[in-house]
Amino acid sequence: MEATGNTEAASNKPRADTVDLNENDLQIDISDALSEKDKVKFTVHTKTKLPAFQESEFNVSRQHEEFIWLHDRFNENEEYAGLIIPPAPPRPDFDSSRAKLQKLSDSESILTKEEYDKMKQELEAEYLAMFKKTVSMHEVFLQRLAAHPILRSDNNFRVFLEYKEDLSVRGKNAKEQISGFFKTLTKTADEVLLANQKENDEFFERQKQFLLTYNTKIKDATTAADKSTRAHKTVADTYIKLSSGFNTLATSDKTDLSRYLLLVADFFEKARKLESRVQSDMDLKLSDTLRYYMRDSKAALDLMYRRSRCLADFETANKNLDRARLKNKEVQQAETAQQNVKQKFETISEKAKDELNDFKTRRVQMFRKNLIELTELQVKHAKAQIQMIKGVLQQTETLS
Amino acid sequence: MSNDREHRQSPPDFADEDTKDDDQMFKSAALPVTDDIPLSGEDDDDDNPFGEPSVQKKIPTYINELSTNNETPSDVPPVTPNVVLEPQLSTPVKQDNELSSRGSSVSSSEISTSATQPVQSTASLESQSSTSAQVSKPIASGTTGITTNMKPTQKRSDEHNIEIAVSDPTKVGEGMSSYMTYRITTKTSLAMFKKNEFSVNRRFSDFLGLHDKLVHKHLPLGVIIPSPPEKDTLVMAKVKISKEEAIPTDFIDRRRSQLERYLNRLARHEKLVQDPDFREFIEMPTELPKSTSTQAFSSAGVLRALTNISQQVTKLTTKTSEQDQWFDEKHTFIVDLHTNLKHLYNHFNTLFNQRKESAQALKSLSTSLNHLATIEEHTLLSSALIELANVQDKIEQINIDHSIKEYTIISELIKEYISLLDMVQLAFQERIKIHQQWLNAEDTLRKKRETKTKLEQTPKGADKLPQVEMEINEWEGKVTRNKEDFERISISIREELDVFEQTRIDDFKKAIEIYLKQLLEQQEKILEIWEMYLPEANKINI
Repeated sequence: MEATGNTEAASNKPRADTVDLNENDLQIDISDALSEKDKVKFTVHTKTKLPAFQESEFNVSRQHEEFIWLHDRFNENEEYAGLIIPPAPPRPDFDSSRAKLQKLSDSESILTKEEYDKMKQELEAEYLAMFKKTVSMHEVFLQRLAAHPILRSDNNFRVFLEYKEDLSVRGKNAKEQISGFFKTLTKTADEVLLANQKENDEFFERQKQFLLTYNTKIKDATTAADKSTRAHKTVADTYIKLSSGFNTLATSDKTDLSRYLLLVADFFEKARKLESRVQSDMDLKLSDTLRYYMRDSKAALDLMYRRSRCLADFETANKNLDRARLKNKEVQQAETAQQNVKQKFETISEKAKDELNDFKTRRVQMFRKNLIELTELQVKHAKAQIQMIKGVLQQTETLS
Repeated sequence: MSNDREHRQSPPDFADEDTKDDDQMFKSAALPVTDDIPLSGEDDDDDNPFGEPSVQKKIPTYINELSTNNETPSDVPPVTPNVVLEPQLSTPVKQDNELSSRGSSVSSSEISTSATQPVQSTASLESQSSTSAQVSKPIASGTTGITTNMKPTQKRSDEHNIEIAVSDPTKVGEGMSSYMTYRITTKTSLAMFKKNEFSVNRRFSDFLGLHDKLVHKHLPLGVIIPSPPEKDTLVMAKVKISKEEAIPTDFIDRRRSQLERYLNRLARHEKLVQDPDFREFIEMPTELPKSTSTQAFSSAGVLRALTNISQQVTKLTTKTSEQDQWFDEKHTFIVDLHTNLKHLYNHFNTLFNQRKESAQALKSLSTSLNHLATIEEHTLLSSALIELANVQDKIEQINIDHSIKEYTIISELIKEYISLLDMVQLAFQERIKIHQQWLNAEDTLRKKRETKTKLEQTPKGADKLPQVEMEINEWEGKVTRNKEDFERISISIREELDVFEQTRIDDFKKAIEIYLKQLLEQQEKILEIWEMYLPEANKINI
């Protein structure tokens, strides 16, 4: 399926409102996106006043893998160990859409022409919506990086934005995939070991507990929200069948009733569109917010992990130093090592505090914005439905 | 038209002047023949192959609209004229209603007792979905003056003078031998009943028994007999076995509602409401003899199954006869309508289940939002999330309510019509059967006559002659009777179909309107909930 989606700076992007006075000197958006077979090509558009960049306004074409490459570079960089790395955008997944379209064309013979057309239209709208969403998520990722005072100056980031050619980020080959897999495994095991780490700092202790529970609960909420929007969509889609059924009845009815039946058919058609909008706004404003913060809280947990890891290393280094002093062997080495780790730990802790507070602020702001927008949209839709139904009722009255 | 008004017994009203004008306007639309329509209604049949009531066009305002459609003039009735005409209209309205009114005279008595039928004046589509039973002449106590105007057999009174409620489903007994009884309360102004309000208890098999009797008596006469809800042995077994608290109430309630609709439909049918079995059913306070023939595996059940099969075979093997075009077209229409309604019913069923799932999903969402809120450290965000959870809860409730109403208003109606259409087809088949009998009788008669001629030519045959002649007489009689039966059923079916169509239109119009209003209510409630939430969301601050 080929589709071109133009994304404006849609309102459903959680702009990182960190206190950054220089937001305007690096503005990024995804001005265009092209979907080709399996890949999506994003056009990343940058406007900047920063001297580090060669031009002040430029475009590059990037694919999803390159975004992941960028995220990995940040994640693996020790310097950023104390920061929350913005979560990577999920892979564009049009499989389910494609499967549905396939199913539809398979059942083309069973449906009436108008039913088929409407369902196709519906699927295409769904595809388009998903497309817009994935574009938005990739955009948000970049924008958060741009808004972060430290991350924005990263060299890889600059290359990503500026370098005209392909970044030649080949997908991980088998070996790398396996090693990546093991890395995750060891990390998880490590997290379990560190779970019982004694935390002297009350702030971090509280944060860790909070984040752990929060992540679980918000994951549940995201799943529930997705299920709800899906169920709602199914209902809206059935309206197509109802509308078609009433149309059939109307055409074969030679009496007065025919006009009423047509009105009902029309009603279901209009209602379907409105219900679709209700559902998709629910999806955009609520589900997506929940989903984003599910990922972001995971990123925060990753930060906590890194700090824990560092703390464990710090404690080990302390023990080594004590032992060295005891034996009076290689004391200098141990001291240096301990100093390094101590410094690393303190840097991380300091930055982490800011990041975590920032996380809270960001979270509250985004929820507030999206909940308000959600409510306003739902009010708008309900009013539209009321108008529509009143219109149909009026028409039935004129008929009688 | 105005002439008719003068015949009316109803008090002339302020409306008089206006109506006169209206009448003048539409005089041309109204068919000339009015006052002298004989009761028999045969003329009507000739005029209106499609059941257009020859006469009633008195209803002014709507004729214009209706005349666009060939057949619609017949549908004058549904449109109740504007309020202005109301008081007077109790009568004219009755006229309009087509089909089969025999005892028009009753109307007057009905007018007096049911003077408070203002409902008709609503601009709404239907004319009082219930057709009041037209009590046959002998029972009528009204003035004959009105009679003349009500003649056309295709009129139907739409005055609501009998209403039946089914309530209090109660379980009697325990275990597999238990059964449900229902309380049947009738409110009526019809003279044929001893009281105006009375109640009896009946069990489900009583309903089935009644149906059997009605079919047996009236089907050969070409009456379209409404049918009761189906026997559902499986679910009923569950009900029987379950303990007091665990009775599946929605099934029972649905059944109760369907039984109610069934009885009201019978009551509105002017022939059936007079049927002694029906009257006994709703009136007689004592228990009815148990109808064993309605049991699933009784001999009567088996017999019924066999008859069904034979009917199917007959349907396939009988050739169609002449004069069939009207019946042919109608039959095709009925079959198509049946198919289309079935599809629509299935879709509504699917919708019902999907709505249920959607409601469950909303409930889960609400729960998980609540959990999230308890964790959320920012207090204002936390309360906003709790409020959002409440919103989802309330919306879930509203949606469930709506879903149930949708089912009652639309799905059940469609289901009723699907089974009604089955009965219509049954009537059609009955007619074909009778026609076949007639043809067979004629065949036999011819053969007998041939035998006679042959016998007349042989000297020996002379003794057998008298017997053959007797047989010929017998068969001539049979042929005549069969022919009469056939003609009678044909006429009756035409009438019945007209009434049926009228009722169908009314019922659906009414249902559509109620449904739309219900939808409106639902959306308004949802709007209210979201509007109340907005300030909550705004409360969140950093």
